Amino acid sequence: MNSSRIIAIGVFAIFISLFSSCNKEKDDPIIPNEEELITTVIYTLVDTLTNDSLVFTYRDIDGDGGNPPIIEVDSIKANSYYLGFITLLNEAVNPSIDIGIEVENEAEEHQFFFIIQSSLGIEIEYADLDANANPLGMKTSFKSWDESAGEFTIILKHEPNKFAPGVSDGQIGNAGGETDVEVSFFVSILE
Amino acid sequence: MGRFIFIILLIFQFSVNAYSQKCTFLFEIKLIDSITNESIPFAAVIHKESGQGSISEPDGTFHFHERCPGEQTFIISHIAYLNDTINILLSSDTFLLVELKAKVEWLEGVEIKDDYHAHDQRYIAATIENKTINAQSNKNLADILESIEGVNVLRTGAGISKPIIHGNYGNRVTTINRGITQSGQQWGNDHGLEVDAFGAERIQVIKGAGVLAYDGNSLGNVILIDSKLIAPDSNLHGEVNSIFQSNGLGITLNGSIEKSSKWASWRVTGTYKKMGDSKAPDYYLTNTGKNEQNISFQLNRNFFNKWYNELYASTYNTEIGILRGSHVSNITDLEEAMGREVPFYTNEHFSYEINPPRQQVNHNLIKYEMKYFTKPYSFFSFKYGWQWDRRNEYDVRRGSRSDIPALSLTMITHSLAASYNHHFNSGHTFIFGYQYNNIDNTNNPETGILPLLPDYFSVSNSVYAIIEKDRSKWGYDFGFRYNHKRFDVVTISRDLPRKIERFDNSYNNFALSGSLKYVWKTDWIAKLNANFAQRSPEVNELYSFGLHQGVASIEVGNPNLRSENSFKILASVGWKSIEKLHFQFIVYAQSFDNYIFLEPQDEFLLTIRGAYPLYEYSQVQALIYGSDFSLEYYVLPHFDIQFKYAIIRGENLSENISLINIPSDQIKLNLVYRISDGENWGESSVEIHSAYIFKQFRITDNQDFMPVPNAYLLLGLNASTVKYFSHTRLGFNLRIDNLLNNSYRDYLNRMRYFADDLGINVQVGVQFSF
Repeated sequence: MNSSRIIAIGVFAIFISLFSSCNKEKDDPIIPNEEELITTVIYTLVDTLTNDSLVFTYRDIDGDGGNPPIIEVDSIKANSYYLGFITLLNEAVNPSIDIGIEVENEAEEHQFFFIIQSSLGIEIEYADLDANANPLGMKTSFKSWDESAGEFTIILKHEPNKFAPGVSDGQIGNAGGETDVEVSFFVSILE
Repeated sequence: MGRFIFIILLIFQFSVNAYSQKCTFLFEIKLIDSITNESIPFAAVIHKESGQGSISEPDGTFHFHERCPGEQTFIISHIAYLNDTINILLSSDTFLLVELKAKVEWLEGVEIKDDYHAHDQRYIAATIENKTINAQSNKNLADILESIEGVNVLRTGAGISKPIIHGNYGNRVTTINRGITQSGQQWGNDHGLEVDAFGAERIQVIKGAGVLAYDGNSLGNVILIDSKLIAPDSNLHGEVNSIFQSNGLGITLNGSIEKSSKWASWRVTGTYKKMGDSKAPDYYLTNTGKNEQNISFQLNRNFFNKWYNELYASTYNTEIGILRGSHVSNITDLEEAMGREVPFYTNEHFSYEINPPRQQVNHNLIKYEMKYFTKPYSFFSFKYGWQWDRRNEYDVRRGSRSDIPALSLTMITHSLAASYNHHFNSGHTFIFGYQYNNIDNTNNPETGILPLLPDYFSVSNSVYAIIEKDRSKWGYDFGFRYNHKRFDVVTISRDLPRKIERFDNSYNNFALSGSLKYVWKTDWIAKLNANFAQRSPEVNELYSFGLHQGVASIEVGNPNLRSENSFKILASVGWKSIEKLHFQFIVYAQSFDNYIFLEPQDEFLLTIRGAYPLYEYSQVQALIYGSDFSLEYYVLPHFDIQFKYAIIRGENLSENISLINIPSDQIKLNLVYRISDGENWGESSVEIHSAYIFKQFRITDNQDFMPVPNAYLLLGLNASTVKYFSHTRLGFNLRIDNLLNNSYRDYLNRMRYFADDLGINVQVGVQFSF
């Protein structure tokens, strides 16, 4: 066995002992501050005559995954007029963040849409405008007809094309954009 | 100094006859035809300094014994070829492969597609040479490999490509860049290969066996990008390459300079790419621009003719725009986008601007490699590599957060490899080696989003042993590999309050591999490769959670995954005759136990943003099998036909359905016309390319969001010529892809949900080497 082979084997042994025992523990990560997250959608209806309020809440406090969302609805009074207000919150942090403020600040890049099942006798119209006189939808007017039941869905689109046909009337077909919120409530209209 | 022609140098540094500086060097030249690669017998070679001369053997070789170190000049002449002079700085035994340009117009012969190196001829593999790599340097690396039968590309638009080798991609393919296993976020289908191949000697794609010596999780599918040795010439040499492309109005500039001196050899290369929106036949693909800036540096130094050293450093930096109209949120958004004729946000005008959604990747590599010869053909080798990979992915976000990445990962990898090759007098070579690597993967919390892939630290140790013997008539090898891998993973919980959860996974992976080669009548070559390997799950398969940009689905890892067991067998038969015909036929099958894949779940995940299809990592029995066929037929002088056919089937045996992302059948037919005036203009050719891609009808409608696209035909045109001056070479080429400007969509391109693929692309390249 010549010297070069001894050296070669020796170097091998050094490396094997050096690295096979290399043990490192990964540091804890810094948990990101999820300020953009929306955990809660609250649709509040205020009766224009009695000032009573109804609340529809969709709450998924831990975001995607984890526990499933909790949905709460109130029943709607028949043949009534309401003013509707949408609240968007991030309740995963304490104190909670009002995301609605950000949406209002970027009103031109956002629009709410309301999809109403045909079995449900209600009508929703926009009651606010952005700087281009296109609707946003954080404020709406809400009308109920006779007793019925069905589903209505609130969708928030980010960067829709508000100038495409039908979009500013509330038709989502040509809007495009990314959906930031899509929540459905099954409600009943009662006398 | 003589006329400079394009020289391919293979330098084997042998330490024969002790280690003195006396006149004991062996200088061997092999002459081959620059176009057909056939050996040139009966050429005359004269050593200018001594006046000694010789005639080349029938196999094109010359041997000059007892050469002295220092500058030497050899003059080569042959009745049918242009004279050539070689100026060389001799400092050790040297072997040179020299191409001569044919003087006469008549050319006969066939391109040798198999790897040139004798020992690699056992493997079922394919090679792309330096000239082709540089001529197509405007393309992504995986796109350059697509010309190899059995290799396909998984795309996310024109800017992002991943190679698929015999149906394997992502975590099942290992890329070895200049000797170091590429370490980055290769698990993502929309994460391209972050390697600049410009200036590499060659790219080899190994399809089955012969990969035991490479560190990585591949099941036999390895891409090797080899360093190019620096010409042992004391003059400054280099190359400037520029390509302009009409689709995307893109410009690619590459440059390299190199020089050898007694002290060391060095090379510096650089690449710059700028491309804007690409275009489908009917509309622009808005926000699909790409920028790239790369620099590399190589330094070689040889001590005492037995200690060979290489230092290599490179930085790769790219910014890639993702089609704006592909950025969808939930399943409803995706369905709306798929229903459109023209994608949302399509701009009528072209732009170079890259806005969110976009990706930004930086990859830095520093490598040191050495070989120490203990005796002729036996050596000890050591390699160390350091890699720093940063991947930032930007989404369209609310509240001016679009400049903050939604995904930001930094990965630092240290890798080490040591091996010893011992060559016995019986002709056997015995190799054994040890490899170590550790990977530190960290998310940047500034994203404000819970990470898709958690932070982790992994350690991997491997040992392997191979025995091989190669003769020109037959050869074989057999080897074994053991790997131990450990992950220390730190995740953030998905419920509230967010807390840190730690996991520890470790795996033992074994692999066995063997290959056989048999050559008869010098024209026929048969190969058999078999490979059993285990692949442990990667961190994304175990622990990922979340929305991965683009295709409206949520991916969930499975921490209970076991290692995959794969057994692959390949057989190939090839025939290469001196005239008329060359073909190669490969058939293969790969069976998997515990094949890991993303399985669509029955229920959707309901979130505040709507419903998302849910995918979970699962394991099944799987089988992939297929066949690659290539043929080149030299019909007439100057004119030949190239034909390639690849078919592949991938089956999920547990559920009796097809695997996804398996390529459909493909046929390619090229017509090539070559001309040479034998004087200053050489190597000119005009080629017509055609490719027919069948519809992937094995995928049923309920396995995908949208029915598979139809079959399509693409035509292309290539024309190139080269002009030689006294010391320099000037090359021109014209390439037209999708000559007929067809509208089509490809099953392996994720953008097929949103837009047509690229329309016509006219590419003009000029290359100058000195």
